[in-house]
Amino acid sequence: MANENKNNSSYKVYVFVFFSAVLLALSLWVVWDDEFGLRPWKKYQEEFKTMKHDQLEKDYRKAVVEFQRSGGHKRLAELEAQLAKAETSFQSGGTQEKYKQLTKQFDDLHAQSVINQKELQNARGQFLETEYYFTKTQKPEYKVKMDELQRQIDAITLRGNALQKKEEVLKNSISAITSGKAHLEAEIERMKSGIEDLKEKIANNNKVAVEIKQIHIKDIDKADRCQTCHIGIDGKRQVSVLQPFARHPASFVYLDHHDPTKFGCTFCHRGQGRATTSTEKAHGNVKHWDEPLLAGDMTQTSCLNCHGDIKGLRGAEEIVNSTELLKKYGCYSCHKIPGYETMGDVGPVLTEVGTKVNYSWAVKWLLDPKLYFSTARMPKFFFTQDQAESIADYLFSMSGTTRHDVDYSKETPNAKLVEQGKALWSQARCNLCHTTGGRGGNHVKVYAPDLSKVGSKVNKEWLFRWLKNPNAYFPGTKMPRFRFTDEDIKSLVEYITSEYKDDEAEPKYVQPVEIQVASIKKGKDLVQKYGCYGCHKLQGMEEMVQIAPSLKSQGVSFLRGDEMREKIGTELSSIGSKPLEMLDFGKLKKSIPNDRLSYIKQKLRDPRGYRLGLRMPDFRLAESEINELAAVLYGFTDSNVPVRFMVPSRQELDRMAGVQSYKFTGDFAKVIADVKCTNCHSIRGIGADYAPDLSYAGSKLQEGWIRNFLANPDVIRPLLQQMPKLGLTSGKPAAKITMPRFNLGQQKVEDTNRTDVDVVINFFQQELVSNDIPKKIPVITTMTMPEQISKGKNLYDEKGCKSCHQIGTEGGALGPNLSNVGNRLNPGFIFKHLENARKFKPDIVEPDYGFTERERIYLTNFLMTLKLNTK
Amino acid sequence: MQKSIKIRKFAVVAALSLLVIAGCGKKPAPSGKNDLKKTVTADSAAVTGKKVPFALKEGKRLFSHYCAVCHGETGDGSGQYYGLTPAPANFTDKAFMKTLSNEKLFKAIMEGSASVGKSNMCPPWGKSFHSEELEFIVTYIRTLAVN
Repeated sequence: MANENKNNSSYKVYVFVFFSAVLLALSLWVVWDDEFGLRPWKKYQEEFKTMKHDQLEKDYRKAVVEFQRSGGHKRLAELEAQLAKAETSFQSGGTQEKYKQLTKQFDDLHAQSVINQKELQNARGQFLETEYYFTKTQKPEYKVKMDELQRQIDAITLRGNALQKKEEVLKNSISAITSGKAHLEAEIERMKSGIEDLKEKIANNNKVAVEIKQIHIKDIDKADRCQTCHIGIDGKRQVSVLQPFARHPASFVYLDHHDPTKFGCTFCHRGQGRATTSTEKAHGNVKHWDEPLLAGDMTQTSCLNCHGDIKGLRGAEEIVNSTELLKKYGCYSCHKIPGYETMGDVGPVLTEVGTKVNYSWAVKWLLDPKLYFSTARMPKFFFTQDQAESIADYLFSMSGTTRHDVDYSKETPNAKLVEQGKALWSQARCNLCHTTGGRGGNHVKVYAPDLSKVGSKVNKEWLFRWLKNPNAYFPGTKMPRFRFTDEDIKSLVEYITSEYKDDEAEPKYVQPVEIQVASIKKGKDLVQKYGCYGCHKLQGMEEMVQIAPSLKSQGVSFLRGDEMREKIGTELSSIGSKPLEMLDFGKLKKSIPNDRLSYIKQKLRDPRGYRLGLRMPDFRLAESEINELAAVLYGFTDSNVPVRFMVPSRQELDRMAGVQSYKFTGDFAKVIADVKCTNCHSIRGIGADYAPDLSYAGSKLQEGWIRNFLANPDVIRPLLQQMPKLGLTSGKPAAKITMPRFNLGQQKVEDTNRTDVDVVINFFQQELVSNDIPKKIPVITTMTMPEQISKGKNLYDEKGCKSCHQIGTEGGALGPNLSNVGNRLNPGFIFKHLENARKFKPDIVEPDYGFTERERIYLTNFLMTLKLNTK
Repeated sequence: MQKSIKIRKFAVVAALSLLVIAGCGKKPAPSGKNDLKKTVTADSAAVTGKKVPFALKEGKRLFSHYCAVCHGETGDGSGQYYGLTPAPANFTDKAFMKTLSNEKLFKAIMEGSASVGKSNMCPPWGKSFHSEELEFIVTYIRTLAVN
């Protein structure tokens, strides 16, 4: 029994000892974890401090060595000796006494002056008070008092001035005594300052506290602690290129325009701003955190949150390029995307397509557009042969009753006409936009169809009508109306239909066959189901506009709520911030990563892959296009954006201000609608950047030159136009690129008495002028014109202008040829252009030389002498 | 005998409870700077596919827009703009690039080729760019040298 008792008690002791040990260990662990385990950032801050210290220390040592090397220490010793001498002489009997005496006098005077000042204030106050009563009551006694006070004020002011003069004199005598010393002191201070500054910086760095660094943005209630680890992110100087110590790249673009203390980090980069315990958590790469960190190019999707118009936005280059894909594939045709509501239809009008194309071609095209040409933008809908025929039947039934084909392959073309047509084809620069046989198509952003096989697609009658007036068949098409004669058009039609044929075409309905009514109904149902009317104009379906989910909610848009178009069967969502559980991964739940970006990419890769019954067609996007589009879609969020962050586009600003956005009006609008100048040129923000911006053409160009140029377009910048432009596919075969000849000037504009050239010139001179561009340049009167011109010529040679510009046969081909610049440009434009070329074209290659005004006058006067006799 | 079994039982329970306690702790945090630097590239890659450093990407973009016309897309001095005398510098020449300090390269771009005692054919870019942008270009040019 006793033995058992003993056993029992020793057992209890073991238990006690064991749990004590566990408790102790736990307590120690808790303390350790709280201090270090949960605060990994402490190490980074310490490390950063050490690195910064080392850097400053190095600077300091370098500065000291430099100081010694340049004999600074000797000079300093000299100065100090001089200062000591000056100090002793200053302290010596006579000087010191005089100094004391003068300072005392000065102090007394100053005290008087202060009292005087107070009296003056007092008197002025009284005067104002009296004046107030006088104006209110008009009693003469106030007037008397006012005069009295005015006299007092004058007297006090006089006294004050006298005192001030005396003070000045005393001050000078005092400084005469101390100036030698003060001068020496300042000199010593200056010599020491560089080194002292560094010392101070080192001391300050040592004092920096190791602590959580947090930015709190009240209006969106975001608290970012990113700088706790990314300690050098907004530093002026790179301490280490390694993360997390590196500076923000290109901070002159990003941070300078988005003060981190006002924007924070996660607003653009996402991630979990509050987490500080581990990298994974802070960067949001953990389960149940839907906003993983954005880094690199992907961060640019955040620009879309606030910037209404990102075209040309510095630092957003990648996302700007990517948004072009939305336009290319016309995503906005089926999905609601605020900001894209006014975009035109991405596909052609189909109302009369039966008069245009072969039935066999239409069926083939519906089955797989890429079989016809590989760059086709229309997606594949996975129709069966039967379905495709039904749709074609429906489309053909709108303008006829039969399935019909034409086949020109058996006909012998008229050789003479073909020859004429070929010449015209190259003169009109058709290959600038259209690709044939892998050549041409340099202006990719107009997405003109490949014409390699067009002879087996369309019929001659339609082609004739089309070339005669494209707008008549397809209002709003990008195809310009060349002012061809009927004879010209006939030859072009003959050339096109005989030259560009599809050897594999199988025209089955050369003998027309009647369309079955049942098939039409079936085709119509399919057209409605798959929303063909989203991209194509179709009779009777004009009002149906959207069939797919919205990609961007109104939450992020700016005053656009009431402008949303009616949509059919859609949900309001913001794909880039849609909660994960609302994304239907369906069949692929287990096979792809369950995050938003993977979802979007997979959807683009295989639009109908998630489950049965999906209708989105397959665009057969390249993997690079998928990445780019996904980046854009990821930026469509409904994040809560404070108004102060918003940068509305110009159109939105106009809308908010209740004014009409810039629109072409009058006769010029008719010319634009016909010749489609804005396919290539940009005018006041409307149009493309393929050809020079014409917004200030009236101030820039001379009338005579415009007339000549429109009649016979010539190459102005031989090399630049052939350069693979940023954002365009590089490596396109360089066709000869000049402006096409539209044969302007021969016809009158509808309802007017003027030719199109007159209308263009009138518009340029009336509307496209800038107040910034002077009509005349300043005149230098002290120098003769020949002298100025010769100075300009010297400058031209000295600065190496010829490396880009050509005069006569000498010089480069990158910039405009200047041989005829005196006839082409207005002097005011040259003068302004030389001051700041980027003002007129932000990505211009020409650098800023920093010319003075005189130099610009010389150069302008020189350039204006360069003229060719064109007539 | 009974005692030793009890103690053993106890030891097992204790060990298990310790395991449980240990399991309650968080996963080991990445410790040390090396771990951290690794995770930076690895975790961003998950969402972003970030591969090229910003300076290089931006340097390349600027180079191909402003410089490549003379110096060539690959920097070998054979741009579309042939027939220049003197010929544009060949940045792919390793021996030549070794003789060129970053400071000199920077100065030549910033103040024009004439400022480093060469012809005036390469203009001064300093007023058109932020100095950081010029650094991007220099960084990029430095990667062009091949054997």
